[in-house]
Amino acid sequence: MSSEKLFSVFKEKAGVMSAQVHRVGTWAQAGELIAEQVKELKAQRVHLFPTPQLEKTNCRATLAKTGVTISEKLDRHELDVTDVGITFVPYAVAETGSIFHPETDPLGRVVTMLPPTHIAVVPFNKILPTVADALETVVKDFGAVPGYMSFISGPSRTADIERVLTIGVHGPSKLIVILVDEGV
Amino acid sequence: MSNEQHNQDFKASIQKALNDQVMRGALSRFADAYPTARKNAYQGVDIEALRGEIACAKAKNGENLDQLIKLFTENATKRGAKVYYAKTAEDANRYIANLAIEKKVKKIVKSKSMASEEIHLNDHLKKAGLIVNETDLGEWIIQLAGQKPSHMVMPAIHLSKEQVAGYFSKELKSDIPPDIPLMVQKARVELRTKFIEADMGISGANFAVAETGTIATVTNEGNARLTTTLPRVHVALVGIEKVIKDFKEAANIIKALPKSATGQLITSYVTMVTGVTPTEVDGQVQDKELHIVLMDNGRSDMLKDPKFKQAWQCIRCASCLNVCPAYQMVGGHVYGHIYAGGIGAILTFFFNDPTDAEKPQNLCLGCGRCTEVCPGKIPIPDLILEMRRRMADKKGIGLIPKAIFNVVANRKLMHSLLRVASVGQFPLTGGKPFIRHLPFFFSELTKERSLPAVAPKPFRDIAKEREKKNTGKKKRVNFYAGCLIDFCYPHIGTAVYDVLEHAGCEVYFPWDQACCGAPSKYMGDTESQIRLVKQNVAAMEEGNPDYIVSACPTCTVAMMEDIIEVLKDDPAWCERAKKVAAKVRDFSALAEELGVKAPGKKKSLKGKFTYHDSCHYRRHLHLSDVPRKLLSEVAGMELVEMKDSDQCCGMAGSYLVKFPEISAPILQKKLDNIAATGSELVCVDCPGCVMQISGGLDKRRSSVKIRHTAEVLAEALRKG
Ligand code: SF4
Ligand code: SF4
Repeated sequence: MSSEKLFSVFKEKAGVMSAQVHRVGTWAQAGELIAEQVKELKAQRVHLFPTPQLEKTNCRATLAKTGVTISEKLDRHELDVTDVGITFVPYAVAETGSIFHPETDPLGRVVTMLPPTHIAVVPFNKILPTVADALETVVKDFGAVPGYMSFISGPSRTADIERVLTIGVHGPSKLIVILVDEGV
Repeated sequence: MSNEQHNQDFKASIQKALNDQVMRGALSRFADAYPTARKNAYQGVDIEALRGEIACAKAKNGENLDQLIKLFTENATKRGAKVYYAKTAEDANRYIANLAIEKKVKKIVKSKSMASEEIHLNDHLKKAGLIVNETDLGEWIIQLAGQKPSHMVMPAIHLSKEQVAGYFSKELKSDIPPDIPLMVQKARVELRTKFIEADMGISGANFAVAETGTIATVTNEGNARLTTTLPRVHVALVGIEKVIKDFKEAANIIKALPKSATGQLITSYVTMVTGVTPTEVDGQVQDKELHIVLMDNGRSDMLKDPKFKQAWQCIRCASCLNVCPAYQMVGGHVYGHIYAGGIGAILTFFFNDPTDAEKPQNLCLGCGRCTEVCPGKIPIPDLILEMRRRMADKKGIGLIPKAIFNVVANRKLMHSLLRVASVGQFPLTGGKPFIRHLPFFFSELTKERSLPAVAPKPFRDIAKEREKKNTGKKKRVNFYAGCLIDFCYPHIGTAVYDVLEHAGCEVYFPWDQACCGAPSKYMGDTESQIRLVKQNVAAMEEGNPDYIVSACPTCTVAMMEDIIEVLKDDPAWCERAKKVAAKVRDFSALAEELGVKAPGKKKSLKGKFTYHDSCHYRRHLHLSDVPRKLLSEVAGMELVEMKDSDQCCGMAGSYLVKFPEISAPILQKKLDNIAATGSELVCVDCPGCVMQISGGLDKRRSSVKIRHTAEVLAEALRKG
């Protein structure tokens, strides 16, 4: 499947799962978009999980301009009250509209779990066709099975009371995916 | 508890469930939405291929279980996990409680785990002085309510938002309105603190991968991720049937589970944990502890059983519950133990106690709707029957049913008794010739229920007349009438003769035929079944026919499959049975095979009809398309499909005498669906369904008519 085709399937399925999908040309543009989204959310605090890929977006600088408090501290109490968690996520899966997040670092994990919004920056050329492909690729790329891996598809949800779908239970109520065309 | 007391309690729990409007409403809304949601979720996926792969892989995993467990243990251990094999529920409970005490754990958060419900882990931990909080919203509600889950995937589906608000208000000591989004937010805030403070997280697993030592949870709320991330100790309680080989199998389960469970494309989260990972404890990063408890608790006994090993193929998606007509009426709690529905009765039989499965297994109508959707391709109704057989072997089936089978084998005796009874009943039925359900006619089971009409002249008398004109020069068809056509609906038999004669056959009625043995089978009385089957095999060999035809799918299946199955240990008889079975056709299949054609150019019958798929007919004989085609193309009528045409009408053998209270609402649903089509005619291929549905239509004083396909075809050919 061509990458454009993979993208269109991903976008459709991610939409079904209620994720927001954006596509930008460069890492720098991703940084701009992150700041824009954070502003729109009227967030006061954001948490970053710093990785070399995320640094390429220069989002620290763009976010600083918006006036939000930026933290990188692994502290569950602080993370409990932050508004947005921002991470780099290395893969996406077209068939299910998921992002695929192999991550053992505790901060890298909790920023995707505790804040009410999760913004993920994902390389465009890493949209894989299927879940099976993702599992195969990750083992090849990492040389071993990462200790903690997650397929994340849209926001946290429940229908446990009267089968009424409600978004945002224990995890984020918003998932924003930014795909970046420029190679890693 | 005495048996009678037990019976009464069971009946009372059914009545309670049926009266629970909240639950009935929720279950029926979900049941209505589920088939479409499932279909959409599976769009573009080859479901049959996927089911085949899952069923096959799971069966193979069962065969290699020891090896897989060894491999899993090695690989998980290599990555720093501690793996404990718990043979029994007690072992698992003890291990987890001791571990908590040893690690100085005070507070525990749990994410959803049916295995932990199965062994009542929470009670055990509480007794050990630990504070345990369920964190899955449904499970937390159930915990606050002091109840148990009523569905494997949606534990609190039986509760209303008002009830939930009541439990929340009490727990949170403030007045919580029944506003769902607000309650969800309250739960988030309340449980967030528990996550942050917990020392131990207990999760289940949807699968465990042997080749990598990975455990995985497939969830929506995000609580399992917090449970497996924040606390310093993680315990995963995993039933040994969850161990699979590799990531390829994992990908298949990820593909099927959410789609089958709730009709979702995928769940919000699929989380895979391999070995020990770091976490933050008091501001410091340290490796957390991971304990994986592999629990047997009856599972390996199930696997060793030559029949029940098929239940190993279950991935606990609960789609069998979602389509089950009985479950839809009564919900999960009447099934007694933790696991509900047909599969639940089977699991309870092995994981808990066979006696606990005794009553719930009776709730199964044997309709087979579950097997059609099951990703593990488990023949649930067959396993239920096997269970019934074993229970009957152990306990005996009682003297009265034994006596019935002596009667049903002797048609002359049965006749005269039926006639006496039908005449005798006249005063009770206001002059209408009605009689209790055949052939359970003498049984104590028939107390509560009436009553198909007994025809003044049984079909065998009519057959005698018609046979006179046979020449012996055309294709010979032996007609197997079965009890209902012979005694109650002889006109269906007449129609069968008309159509087959029109197609150039001569039809014979072998006089020694007896009841097909299906009722004995469903009651678990193999001995009587064998006697009846031999009698029928011998009868049907008469005249070395080209075909043997039946117009009752239950009889057809009995004559095609059961006769071989029950005689398999008797080589000579089995050979004969196979030869007979090879000639057996259901009426519509034979009509198609013989190429019954529309009589003239003009359409002979006009008007609309709707079609009801009888259970055996659709799911054993796979004939659903044939009658639709015959009725539209040959008879010339216009088909209007009803909603859930494949849903059981509630007849199912002795079901309507055992559970009239469940059978009745199932029938009402069917009648509503028929009425909604606006057609004045409903066609079926099963005299049992004719009996059930016509009874219902009569009661409603509906103008809708019900006809067997044979009758409609005969009429069309006559007119043409
Ligand atoms: S056979 Fe029918 S009644 Fe029995 S468990 Fe399956 S769906 Fe339910
Ligand atoms: S028996 Fe089949 S349908 Fe039922 S829970 Fe198991 S896998 Fe799912």
